[in-house]
Amino acid sequence: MGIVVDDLQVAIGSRPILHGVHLEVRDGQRVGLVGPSGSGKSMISRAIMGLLPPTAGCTGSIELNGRQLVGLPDAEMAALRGAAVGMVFQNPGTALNPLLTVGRQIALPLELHYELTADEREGRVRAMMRKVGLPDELYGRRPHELSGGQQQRVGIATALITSPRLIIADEPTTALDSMTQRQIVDLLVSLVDEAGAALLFITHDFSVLARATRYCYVLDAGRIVERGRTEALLEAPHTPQARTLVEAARRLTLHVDGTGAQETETEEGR
Amino acid sequence: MNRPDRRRVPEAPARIAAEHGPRGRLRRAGVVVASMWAHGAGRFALVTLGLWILVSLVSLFWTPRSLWETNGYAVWAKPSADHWLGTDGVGADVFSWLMAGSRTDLVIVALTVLVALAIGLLLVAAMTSRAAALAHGSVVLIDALISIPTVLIALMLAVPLGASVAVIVLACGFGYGLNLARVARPSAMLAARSMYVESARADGASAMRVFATHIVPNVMPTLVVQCSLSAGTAVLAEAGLTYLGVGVPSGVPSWGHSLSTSVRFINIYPLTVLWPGLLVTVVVVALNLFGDALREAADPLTNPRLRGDDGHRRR
Repeated sequence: MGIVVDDLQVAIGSRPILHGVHLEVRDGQRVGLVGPSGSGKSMISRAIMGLLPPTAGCTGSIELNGRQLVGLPDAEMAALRGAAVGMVFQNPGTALNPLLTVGRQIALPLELHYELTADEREGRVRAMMRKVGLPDELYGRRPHELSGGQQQRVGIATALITSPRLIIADEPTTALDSMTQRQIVDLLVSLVDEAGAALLFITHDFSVLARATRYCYVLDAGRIVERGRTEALLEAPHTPQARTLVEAARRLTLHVDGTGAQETETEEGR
Repeated sequence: MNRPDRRRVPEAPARIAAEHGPRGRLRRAGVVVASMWAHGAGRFALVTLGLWILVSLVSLFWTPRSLWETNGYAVWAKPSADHWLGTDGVGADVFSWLMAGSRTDLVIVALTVLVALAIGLLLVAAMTSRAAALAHGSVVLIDALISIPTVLIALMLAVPLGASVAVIVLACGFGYGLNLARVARPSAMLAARSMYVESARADGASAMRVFATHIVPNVMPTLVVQCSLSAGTAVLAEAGLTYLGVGVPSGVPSWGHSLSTSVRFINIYPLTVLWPGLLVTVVVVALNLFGDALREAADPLTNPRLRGDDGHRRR
């Protein structure tokens, strides 16, 4: 089981965004989705979550564990969100309600999808916090009292607390510094693998992609232009669009490191 | 690799923010009241409003003189041991009438704020709705309705209802509710379009749920202040509408009633008008200060005592 997206077309008003996208993520797989800004990456994740803007039209097929999601009434879709699919957002600083404590924030999906007593809920939340490496005393803190990495750990804990079978991570590391990026990616990978869930990892950053996924799709201007094993794709991209992305990532790494190394993996060598 | 990016957590002496459940809520409420009490304006507001409630309760059982006791030989009397604030044109005790009037005004204010809050929240829900027609329509509706003066609404309501408390409550509640929604709109829209609402929807939260958990708490600070201003205005409106004859019916004690029965003789017996006027002024000022003090004391951003970290890492 897992998610199979086939011939997905999304248009906002009369402006087409996605032109027949096909991609699949099976249980236990970690799959990347890369593409430049504006290529429609987030639109795919929104289509899967059923969170497209009201003006958007969506055709094609999205099957989650054999169930067709396109055209599903919103109430049924809401029952799946957060329970069957968990989502990790790009900017943890804004994706957390500043008024809610960490404990409350992580408990929200549980409150929505499970009948639990307050004590049971608290127990599960605290256990989840331990799993993602959040110190116990942060339970009653609010987001502004946390570091960026801790905030994203809260985001991951919230997405995973209901043990969903599919996790969509929409640029989960973009707002973080490179040290924290690596920790967060490793954490996400280990938790997803432990749960045997499927991961759709959306990013424009190849160095993170190589760490998080084995297989990936390259999206450009609303079309999948290339697909394949992440390592192979990084070494020898076939299409010009993928080549541009990989080269841009290399140049950036080179520039940041200032060492003149030729590979994107220079960061790994430390 | 999986090292948590743990920051050193300072040992705060009072970790109020961390406590959950009814006990934590009670302690937070205690801290809020104590913080209000610590400032002059807040203390004035608390004392005045406390006295108002106390006097209202006492007036149910006891007033210095019976309301219906009149003395034809002592009309417009000056304050004395018999009549602490003097008497009015029919020789009734002004102090007793003001005491009894305080409970009418208290009920009017409480009901008006409730109605305003209900209408305001309903409109905020409509404005933040994802249905574009509803969201835009409600803004246009509010802008159109807000231009109708409260007094006009009251006069129209008085046609079927006659002079009654309901006229004041409905007219003011309606007008202030529109105001409330208008004032709360920016913060409500900010919350409604935020990433955390998007994230809550991704968790499977319904529109109702998003509104209750994420939007209402974000507009509450604005609403509390606005409600206290509305409460003050409601006291003034009661006086004004009762004077016009569409508010509290004659024979029912209220501050507006005390004012309107004596205001025509202000040039001859100014003291009799002064007392209810002074009372209304003090109460309105107290209500306005109450809102400000409450917002200041209940907001963790402005009150370090509500923060777990004593403000070390304030952003």
